[in-house]
Amino acid sequence: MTDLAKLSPEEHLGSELHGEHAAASAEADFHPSGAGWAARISVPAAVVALILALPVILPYDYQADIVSLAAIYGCVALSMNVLVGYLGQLSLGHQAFFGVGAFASAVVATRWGYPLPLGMLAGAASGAFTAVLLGYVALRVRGLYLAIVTLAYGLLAEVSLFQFGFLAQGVPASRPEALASPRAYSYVVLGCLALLFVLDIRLVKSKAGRAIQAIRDDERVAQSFGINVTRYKLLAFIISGTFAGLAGALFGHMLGYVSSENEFNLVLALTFVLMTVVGGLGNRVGVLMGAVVFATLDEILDAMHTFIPYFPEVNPVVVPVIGAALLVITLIQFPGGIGQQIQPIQRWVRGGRFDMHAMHEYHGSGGGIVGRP
Amino acid sequence: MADFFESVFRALMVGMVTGTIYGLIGLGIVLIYKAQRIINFAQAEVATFAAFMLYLFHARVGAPYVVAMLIAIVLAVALSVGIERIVIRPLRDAPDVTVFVATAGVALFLIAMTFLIGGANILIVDPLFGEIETRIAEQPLLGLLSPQRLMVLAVLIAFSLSLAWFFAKKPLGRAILAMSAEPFAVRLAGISADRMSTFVWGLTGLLAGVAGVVFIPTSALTPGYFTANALIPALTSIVVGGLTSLPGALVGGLLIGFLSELTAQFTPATVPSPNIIAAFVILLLTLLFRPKGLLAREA
Repeated sequence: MTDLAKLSPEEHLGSELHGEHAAASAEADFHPSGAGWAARISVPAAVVALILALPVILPYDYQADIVSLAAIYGCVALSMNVLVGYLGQLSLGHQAFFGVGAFASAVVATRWGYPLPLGMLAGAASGAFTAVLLGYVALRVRGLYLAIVTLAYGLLAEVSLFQFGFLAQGVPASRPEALASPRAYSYVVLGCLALLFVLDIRLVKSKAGRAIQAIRDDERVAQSFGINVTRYKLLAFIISGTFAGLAGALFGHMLGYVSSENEFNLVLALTFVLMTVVGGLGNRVGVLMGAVVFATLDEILDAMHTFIPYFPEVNPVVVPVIGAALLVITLIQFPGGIGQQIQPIQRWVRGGRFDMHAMHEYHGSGGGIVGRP
Repeated sequence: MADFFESVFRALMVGMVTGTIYGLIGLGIVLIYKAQRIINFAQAEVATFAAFMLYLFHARVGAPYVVAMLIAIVLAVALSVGIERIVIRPLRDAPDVTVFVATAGVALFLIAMTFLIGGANILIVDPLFGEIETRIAEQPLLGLLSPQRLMVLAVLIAFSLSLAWFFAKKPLGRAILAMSAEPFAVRLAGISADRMSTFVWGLTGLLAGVAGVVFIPTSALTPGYFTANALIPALTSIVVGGLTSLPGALVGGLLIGFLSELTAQFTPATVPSPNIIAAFVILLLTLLFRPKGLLAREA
């Protein structure tokens, strides 16, 4: 807004056109050879193959649960990314959507005895429902005000909603015989993550995705272009809530028991925010990597202690210290997070030259305006 | 009928005690918000840090109470200035949400550090006036009005009014406000943004430090105590009071404290945490009918 105001209209248009033209022609000059394309495709293919192989090649059963947890955090990261990265509104109540999904699925699938997929759907739907309630608040307040409302809502869910009636004692969340082993179940989780990943790609390419990002950049300008701000804001909340609710349902059935002691608390909400910001707002591969780091940090440190000589044993209490330090370093050095650091690789995979400078030309979505209500 | 009045009186007393700490934590957050448009998520944790230092120097090192209090407050100021220097200043041009998340990271870091040093124990900090405290506590209802609690209230009122005066009348206070409105113009006028920033964060550290050491004897200290118990109600009460209003933090804190205790007194026991529900409803009603807060004016 201010940048626009500082430049005269011609200057602004001129610089924009010129810049885009120069960049476009430089890109157009470069075409990877056949071998180049093969190399570019082999990298993501190898990553996917490795992820798919992980639950089978890991030596112990319980380690498949680590894969599941990382994938569940990945689902949450995609959910956060829709709200924080694309819409530019900070949510500190995501643990509530997550927890509601976990409880709903456990109640429907185990307490009432419906099949598991129906429970998962119920989890996703109830996540969407609570998110829409907060979405209506978000129509009135933005930015930091909304963050405070979501924060208060998260606390309400933790100490009150999840303590009502029979929920207070916890709800068992069983799995059918075929999915009883952690290894089998982790493929269900990975499948859900893949589904959300594809949905996310489709969203960004659609009119709705562009509309949501336009609202982030400037609500009034978006409105003047005929974008229905109310509708697309609510849509972003629904999508984010659905993703988070599904992730919660997956989490509940992974643990086998959902109770308020499962730490649906402020620290979890902050972890969700930290992993998304460290991952890089608006970059879906980046946020997934952030999620994996935060979900497996203590396991990684443990493995390093086991395999690297002289690496100290890390007290679990220190793990948040490392997470917070990672966050601060990321924000100061690379505001675009991991998404910014992997920029050269991402451009190369998409058919560009490998150029380390891409790291510094990053224009990610910082997201967020101080909202006066 | 007598029962009714006793319940209301009890809610008033308990609400005042909890409300003052919401107000004190909120006041520090308003201060930073007024000056820099940043919500400082680590404010409550700086208070916990000060309380922890008081315990460390009084109970473990054996320093006299008042000396330990002063050391704790000075360390809290130093911590706050350090946060500004290491985390906030490099992020000057970053989006607000990024800065907010960074302060949340600082809070998590500090909580983990206290876990590391003090363990997960519950620590008891002695009150300042030991003997009077125990004699008053024997009274049935007035026992809630201990000197320590009155001191917390006095500190809150003194801080919020003197800070409001400072920002309205003193040149330094006005320079800080101008900095939040037009940073570039203020720098042209020869005022150093860095020094203003250090000053404000030092001031907010002082607030958090005093809040921590004065309040903690009325409760028990655990890692992350203020973040877990006071931060979210404090944020709620400053939105209710008006994010930029220093007396608003006082009014909002006491209002939230009193109304949520009142709800708790008259709600059946089957409803879990009615005070949190009440605070959330008050927050929503405020945003619905008076979104800028009860006492808000510009800057």
